[in-house]
Amino acid sequence: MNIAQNLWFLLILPILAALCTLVPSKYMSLPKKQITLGLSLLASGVSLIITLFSANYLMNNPGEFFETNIMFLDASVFKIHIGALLDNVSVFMLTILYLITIPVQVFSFKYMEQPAEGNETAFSRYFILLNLFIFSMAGLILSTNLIQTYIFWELVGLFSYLLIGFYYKKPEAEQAARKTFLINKIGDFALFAAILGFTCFLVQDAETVLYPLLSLNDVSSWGLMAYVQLGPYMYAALCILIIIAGFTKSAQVPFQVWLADAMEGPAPVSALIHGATMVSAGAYLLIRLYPALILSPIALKIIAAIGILTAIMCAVVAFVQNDIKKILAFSTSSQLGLVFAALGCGAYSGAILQLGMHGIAKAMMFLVAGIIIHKGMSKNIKFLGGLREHTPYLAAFWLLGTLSLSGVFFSGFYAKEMILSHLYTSGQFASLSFIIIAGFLSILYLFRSYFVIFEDTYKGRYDFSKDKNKSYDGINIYLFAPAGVLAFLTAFFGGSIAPDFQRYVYIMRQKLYLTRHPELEISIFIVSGLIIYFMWQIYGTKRFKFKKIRFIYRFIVLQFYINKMFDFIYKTLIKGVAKIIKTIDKYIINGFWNFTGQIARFGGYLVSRLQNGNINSYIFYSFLFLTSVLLCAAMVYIKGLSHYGG
Amino acid sequence: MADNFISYLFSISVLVLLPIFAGLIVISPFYPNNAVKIRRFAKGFCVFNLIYSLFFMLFTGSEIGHPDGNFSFIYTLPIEILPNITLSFAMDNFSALMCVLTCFIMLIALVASKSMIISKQKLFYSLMLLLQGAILGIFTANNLFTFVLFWELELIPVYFLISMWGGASAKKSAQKFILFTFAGSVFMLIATALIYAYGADAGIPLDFGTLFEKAGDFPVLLQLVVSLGFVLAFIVKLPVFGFHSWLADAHTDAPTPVSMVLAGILLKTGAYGLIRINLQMFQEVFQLIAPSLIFLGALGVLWASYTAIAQSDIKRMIAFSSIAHMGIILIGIASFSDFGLNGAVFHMVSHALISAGLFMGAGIIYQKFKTRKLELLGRLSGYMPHFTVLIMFLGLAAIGMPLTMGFPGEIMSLAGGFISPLVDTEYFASNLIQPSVLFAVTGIILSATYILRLFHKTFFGIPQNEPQNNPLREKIRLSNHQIAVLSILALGIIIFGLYPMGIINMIAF
Repeated sequence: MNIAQNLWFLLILPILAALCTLVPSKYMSLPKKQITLGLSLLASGVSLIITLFSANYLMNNPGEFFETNIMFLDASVFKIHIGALLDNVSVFMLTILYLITIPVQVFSFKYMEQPAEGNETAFSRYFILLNLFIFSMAGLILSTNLIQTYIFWELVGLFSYLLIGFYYKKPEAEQAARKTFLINKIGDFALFAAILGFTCFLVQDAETVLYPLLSLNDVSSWGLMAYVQLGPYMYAALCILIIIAGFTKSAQVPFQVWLADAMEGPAPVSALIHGATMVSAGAYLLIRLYPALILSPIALKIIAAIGILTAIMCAVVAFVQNDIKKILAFSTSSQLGLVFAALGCGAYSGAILQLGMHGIAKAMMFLVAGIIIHKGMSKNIKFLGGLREHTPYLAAFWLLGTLSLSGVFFSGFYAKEMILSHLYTSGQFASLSFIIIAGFLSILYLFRSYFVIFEDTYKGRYDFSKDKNKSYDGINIYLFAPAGVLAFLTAFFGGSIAPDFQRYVYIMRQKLYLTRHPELEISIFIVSGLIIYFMWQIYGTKRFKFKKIRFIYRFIVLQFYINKMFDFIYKTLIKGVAKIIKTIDKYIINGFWNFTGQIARFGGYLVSRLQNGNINSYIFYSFLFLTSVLLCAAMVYIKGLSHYGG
Repeated sequence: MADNFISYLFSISVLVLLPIFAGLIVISPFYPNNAVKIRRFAKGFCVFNLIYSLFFMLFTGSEIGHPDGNFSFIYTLPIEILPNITLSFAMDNFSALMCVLTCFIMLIALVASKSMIISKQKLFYSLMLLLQGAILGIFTANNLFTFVLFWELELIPVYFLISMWGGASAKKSAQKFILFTFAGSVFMLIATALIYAYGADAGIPLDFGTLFEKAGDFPVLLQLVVSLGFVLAFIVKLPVFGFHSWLADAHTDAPTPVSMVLAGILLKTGAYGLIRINLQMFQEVFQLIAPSLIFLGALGVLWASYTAIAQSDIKRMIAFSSIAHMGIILIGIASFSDFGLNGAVFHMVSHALISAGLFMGAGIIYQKFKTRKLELLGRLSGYMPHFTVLIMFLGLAAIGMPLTMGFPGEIMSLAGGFISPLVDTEYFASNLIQPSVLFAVTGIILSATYILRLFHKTFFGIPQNEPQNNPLREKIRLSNHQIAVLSILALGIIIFGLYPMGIINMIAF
């Protein structure tokens, strides 16, 4: 099929764009920055067009897919393929990826121009890393087998590390990057171990080796084989490893600690990490392996439980944050928790739609936050406020994102409605109520952020009077347009695809619940309205006030001491043990050999005394040793010869 | 006649003995004591040897462990040193690969020595050439006598190279190195003597080709004793957990080019011996030992990684990371699965490039900042950005980042260990194989920890002291040859990371 071959472009184009950025600017006719942006946009644009064409084809021919593979590594039965697989799930994820990528690239063009580091290399370095980041995410989405997933999984981690630590001269950024990388390494380990476990029996018998090994197009069949051979407990253990891997990337409890620190990266990077790449990768892994996970009910229960836990815990933590980007970060963990909860409860299509719609809305909100920061205003929402009068567009965008993320209106509504109606119809009322609670909590923190930032009176130092009478509130078009595009998508994209979504993105052999429940929607809608009114009374009109209970507040701000727990693990389990082992190595193992050496030297001393020699050279001993050994060997040998008559 | 001529021209003995001869030329009083001339001669010679060994790689066709079993290009020196004992060389794909690697790393090390070695250059370069000849001899030996001869010969130049050009406690470290290796070699010598005694008795010619076929028919007790003797020699050299204390000292105190050669090739002679002698000759007996070796390998990975995390000296940290990588190679070799073995060999090549580059980086940092302590360094990326990028490539390869060269070897060795056919057997410690490999996999997290510690303390981080020779905070310029060496290594790591089949096709076990 022609489209299958075209999929290679999705992997090659970002790399080409990154390579072209490396060309020194003296060989270019246009200013380098424009060329860099143009090439990056070209790469993503062509990729988007290919994706949309394939999406069109796949929608007209349901059940089909495109797959192409090349051999990466071939050593007897253990073969690693790299390829591209485009089916209903990956085409949706790819569309979301490129829809977010293109605005983010345009946004970065202006955003990274500011002299944070001053020189042109920083700009080029940024775009190289950005393109490679997109490349690795595209490779992950298109992956045809679990080993390819692992390869690109690590690459996504690497480039997010490099992008989060982009301002590496700032100690916080550098620390945050390191934390991200190390916590994600736990997930890499888990995925690696799971791959070893699954491969273990698959390659035992060369007859049963599937093509390619651990194919993602055929998860249910090798999952079933694994289940039969390993038994339910071992199989559940492997599933849990995969779940751990997914949770580290998607920043679920207890691995959510890296996400807030990762805010040290530039704002467009955060938009990309939260919207379409890093954080989605974990959920995407579980979505792809869902047919295998479904065989182990324990695994599904764990996914649902941790998802709900994260959705609620991170919503609470987001409520007490004051950093504009950290609110969004914890919101991401919380919203991804809903994705996992839905996945664990069987709402497969709803989970995928929620993942995509959350990505677009969150990317848009990060761009708005980026505009606020780029204007030189504070990151702390306490020093903002009243921005609605000065920048009505931004207020509108933020409100749009808020409504969408909390599932009240717009794209987010369709996703959440799909999940809730699934749970309602299938009768999982416990999960249903928890997810509804999590949704209400998300209204709380999101509207808090909206009211504190955009209502009230302005407390910042930035002078808006110079922006008066300028178009787009004095916001540069390169910054404004991307946020506007994403806002448009937030408003209408979900509604345009949701009605037919379940017909295209579904999982085989699973019951579809297509019935809608107006009574559920209306009651949630009314309660949401009440909560928003309540928030308005607290933060808008200041009619109500609530008291901070200090120790609970502290407990929440410290993320329920999970952050401290990871610090503890790093300090004791890794660094402490390392110090102990180093000491043992130095004094016991090394000491043992030194002691042996002393004995040998004492022997040598005796010998030298016997010879009345006075030679201090170590070389002498060494050669003495060599010659004596050689003599011994020769004697043994000659004796052997004479004995056996050779 | 023509046949004869070609066989003389392409004889392996030329490859092996010529460096030794060249080393003797350099040291001879007739050669001018001019640093530039000596360097150029040595480097030019290395280039010649590299091309020559590449020739062999192109034309050697036989596969190791192939039913034919024989090496191609067998060449026997017509010198019988003792009755039945000759110098004999042979080469197959694996040897050819190791020879090319040896010549390459040696060339890189010689290029690097330009700014690192400034005293007694005549002796240094002649010893390096001698070392090259000795290592090539190990990789091309066709009987046990030749193998043992070159194995011992290699120690002499290394001893002088470490002790004469090394750091503060270099003499002690060199002595430690010599004593450890000798102690291991004693067992190897005994084993060789036993084999010769038996072979003379049974009337079996003792070249490797025959041993591949016949060694399995030897009495089991003899096989076991001989196999254990060789294993002891090789695990000291590799080194395996417990026998590793020489390595950290020797690597730390050796001058940079010698560290590069030590980590790059010398450690691989142990792995080569394990594959060539234990795995290929005494296969059935080796199965009995292999599970324990996998356990020791995994223990080594964990132990060395943990020790590396706590180190404060860059070079020592890299040295311990070498031990961890050797553990992975050992797992691959002892796994008895095809791809484990392929992975081990691939990892041998990749680790040679990675560790040579990292040691070079440590050497450059020491040269520029006069310290290797992590606490005293920091924010070097501001002074030397290109250097930082190159070292990051090498460091990422060291933690097994996919699409660099560190990944395929690691995943193949570990997967090979996990899926080893020995798991189903009843040998000693065979039920420990899978748990120990899983523990070795946690090395993924640990290796990331120490490499990131290295990055962040040296290149990012906050500087505790200003570089001494750089009060103006200008960019520090590296010499061209240093950038060239690091770039070639980084390029190789990327190319073979993207196209690992380039090496795997070459060995094709």
